[in-house]
Amino acid sequence: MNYAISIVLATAILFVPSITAQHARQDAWLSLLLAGAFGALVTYIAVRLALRFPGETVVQYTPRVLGPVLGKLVGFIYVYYYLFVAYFVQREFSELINAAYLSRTPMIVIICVLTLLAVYVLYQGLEVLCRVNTVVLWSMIGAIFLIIMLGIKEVRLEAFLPILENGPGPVILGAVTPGSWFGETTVILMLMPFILATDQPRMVKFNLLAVLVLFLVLEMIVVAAVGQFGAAQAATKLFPTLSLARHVDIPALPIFSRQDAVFMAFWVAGMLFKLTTFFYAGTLGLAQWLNLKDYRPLILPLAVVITALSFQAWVDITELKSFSGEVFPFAISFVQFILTGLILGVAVIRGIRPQPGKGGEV
Amino acid sequence: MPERKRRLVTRRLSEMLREVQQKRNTAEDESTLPANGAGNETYHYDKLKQMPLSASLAQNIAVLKRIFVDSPGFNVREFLVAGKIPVAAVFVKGMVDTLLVSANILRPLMHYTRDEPVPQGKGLLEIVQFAGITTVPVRTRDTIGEIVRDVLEGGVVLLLDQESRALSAEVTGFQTRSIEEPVSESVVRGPREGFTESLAHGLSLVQRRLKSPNLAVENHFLGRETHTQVSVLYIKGLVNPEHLAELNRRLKRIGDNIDGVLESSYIEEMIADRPLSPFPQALNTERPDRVVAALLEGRIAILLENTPFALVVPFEFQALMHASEDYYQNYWFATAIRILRYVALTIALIGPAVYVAITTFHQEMLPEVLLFQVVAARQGIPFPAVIEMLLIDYAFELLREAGIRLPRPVGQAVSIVGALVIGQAAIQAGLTSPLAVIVVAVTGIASFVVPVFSMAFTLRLIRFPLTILGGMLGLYGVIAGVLAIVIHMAGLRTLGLPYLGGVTPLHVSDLKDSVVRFPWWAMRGRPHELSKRNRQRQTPDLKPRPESRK
Repeated sequence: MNYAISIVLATAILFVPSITAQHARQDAWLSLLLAGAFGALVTYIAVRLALRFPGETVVQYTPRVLGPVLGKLVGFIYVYYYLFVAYFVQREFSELINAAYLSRTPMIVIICVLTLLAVYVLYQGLEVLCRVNTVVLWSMIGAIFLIIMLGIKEVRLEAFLPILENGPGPVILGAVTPGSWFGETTVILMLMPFILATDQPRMVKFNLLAVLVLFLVLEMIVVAAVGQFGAAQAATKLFPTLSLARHVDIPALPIFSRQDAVFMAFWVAGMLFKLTTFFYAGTLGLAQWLNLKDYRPLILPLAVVITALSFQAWVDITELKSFSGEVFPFAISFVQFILTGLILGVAVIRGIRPQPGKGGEV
Repeated sequence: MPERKRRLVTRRLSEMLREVQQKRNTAEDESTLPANGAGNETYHYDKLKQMPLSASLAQNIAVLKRIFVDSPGFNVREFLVAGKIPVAAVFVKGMVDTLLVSANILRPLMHYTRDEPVPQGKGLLEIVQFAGITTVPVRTRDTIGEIVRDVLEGGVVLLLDQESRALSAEVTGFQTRSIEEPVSESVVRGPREGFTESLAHGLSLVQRRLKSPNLAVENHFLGRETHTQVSVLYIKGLVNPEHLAELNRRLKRIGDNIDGVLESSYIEEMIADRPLSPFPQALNTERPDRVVAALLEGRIAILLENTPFALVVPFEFQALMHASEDYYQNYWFATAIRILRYVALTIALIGPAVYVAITTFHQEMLPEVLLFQVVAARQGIPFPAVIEMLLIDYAFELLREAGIRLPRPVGQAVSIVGALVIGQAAIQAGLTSPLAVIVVAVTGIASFVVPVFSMAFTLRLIRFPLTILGGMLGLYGVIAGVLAIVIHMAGLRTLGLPYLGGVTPLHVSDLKDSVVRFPWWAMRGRPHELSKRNRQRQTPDLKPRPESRK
């Protein structure tokens, strides 16, 4: 559960308020409601599929479900999807650090540091990833809560009026991006074999709970951002959550006024674990796709590949932001929702069951 | 008449001694030891252990003399039991208490006066053992190896004629330090006894606190040449058998493959799960109360000869932040102190790094008033912040190291020079800003607050790369560095127990003894990962309250 929350939270808190506010204006909080519902649906489908083959990853069972050729192809789409999210995260992350903190440091340095950390985690395996995650996640949520609480007195409720000014259309549009982010819980398709058999039956509950917590946190941020800055400003700010942190002002204690160091600490950690998770899923997936016994030889080459991809894929931050609003959600929703649903549907109709005794190999 | 008897005895004695002498001369020729380059052979216990004693006193003496040919202090004392039967006492002078030897072994045997005659050969050993010598521990031995070991450990071994067994009596008498207050872990409240270099003292200190038949010990002898006794202590029923088996396996792996074990750090490094990590992977302590507390939690203690530092394994990172006194002080106060320590840990780790990062990259994060101060202080400093910080930090470490190694009177001179030169002159000369000196000073003091010294060393070490990262990549670099440390720690294990145990894997009941310390009546369970079989530490209903309300 911790897992799902932190991987989605990390990127979502960055852009969600501004992207959602672009479309839905003051109704951004309603968009999130929709997005949360969509996320819950995707999560439910993904967990159902994962539980149908509890000992295998999606790359391993698609060839049996969809036939060898199509199955391998779909398997590769999943692998690419995970790596795609990984390099998207890399780029997004370095853009923020570059824009907000280290404007004269070459972006390659920033990406390399983060990627090396991810490589270090991957060499140590999934267990370390989960352990660090538990340490960081709750402090991250705590930090967000602190930032919001410190600025709460400036939230103006008038900013949310009038409700549904332009009808439901913009609200639905605004829900698309956060919805796709909620859907990132589909990474469970790669992780299920490593969850204790005794815990697996509870995964449906856990993952839906994760979506709920996530929803609450994001809703808080959106409300805080729109409430403090107004819909118009929230939409134009590049990183509204960072602005929230910088906006904190306690006249009595000036030393606590600028919270962006705290924000950065937990956000770097969050991004690292999101990158690591998807990088792990992609590397493991590729290893299984190629029928390798161990994924470790692939770590460094893939790290180089995604680092390079993260550079050539987008020209600058404006393109990245419009991409993450207009292309990214549809592309990844296709994998998360349609492909996952398709595999589950075919598996149910053809009545394909897991092969006995076949477990996930690391 | 008495004159005649005396002459008779003398003659009989000299005859016997001559006999022994002759036997010995022949024995030396047919001695079973390989005779290549006499005096230069080396011997190992595992080989000697397979060599049985012969039934001939002369031959046994010859063999031992050959083994110990150049050994310091090796002695063979030949005498007659009850004035008739020849016996040899073998020992190393300086390792045994000679007064004890003469009072408890030589005197009773030489003056043996019982009605029944002393037999020659069969039955003699039993009489010597049960009616003769009066030392407390006496054991029978049948191989040369065992005898060699007993002698080297400060025992007296009695070799009898026509008997292929020997008797080994423990009369160790070397000098040891008396029990004193541990220097590295002193307390205001709590027991003031510390371990000494004597393992026997150590075991008794533990046993005195733990009067339970469940306290168990397993002994290993490590080191081909030093043959250091290592005692593994645990409490039956509390210890996790897997941990115990794993530890024993790792100690056996060291066994005789190392030539010497002089301090517990040898073992710490040889049983580490991650040999390349800078973090301590065994908890060292001089305090018997701390060892007993660990045993009660289901951990294992390793005590060894010749060092006052015992090891405790497995343990979690948080144990490095606890002092034994935390449990003897009021729990509110102990909690406050622990919070203080964690803050100190943070400062000691990232203090200089954050200073460098903020003054170099993120001036905008400082409130205006503070910013003006910082800028004014750094005006005219010829170095970038990171070089300035590394220089002063390095100077501080120099002072600290010099202070430790120097004799006390000189040490004072060093600290005066340090305070004046670094604190005053460097600032006046415009080489560093006063702020940097303050940061280094606070960092240095903060690193002293960490109660376990091996952890403080690790902190001092990690601080430098973090400072450099802060100078290169600002706060982002510092955070990346800290994350790398957290990742590393999350991957560490001691004897298979996760280093960050309690926090991850999370067990809420374990957090009662972490940053906070709950009162004793509330700490009902033992650490979760350690004692899966025996979780309950005490009965649930121990909170004191007025009798009437029960």
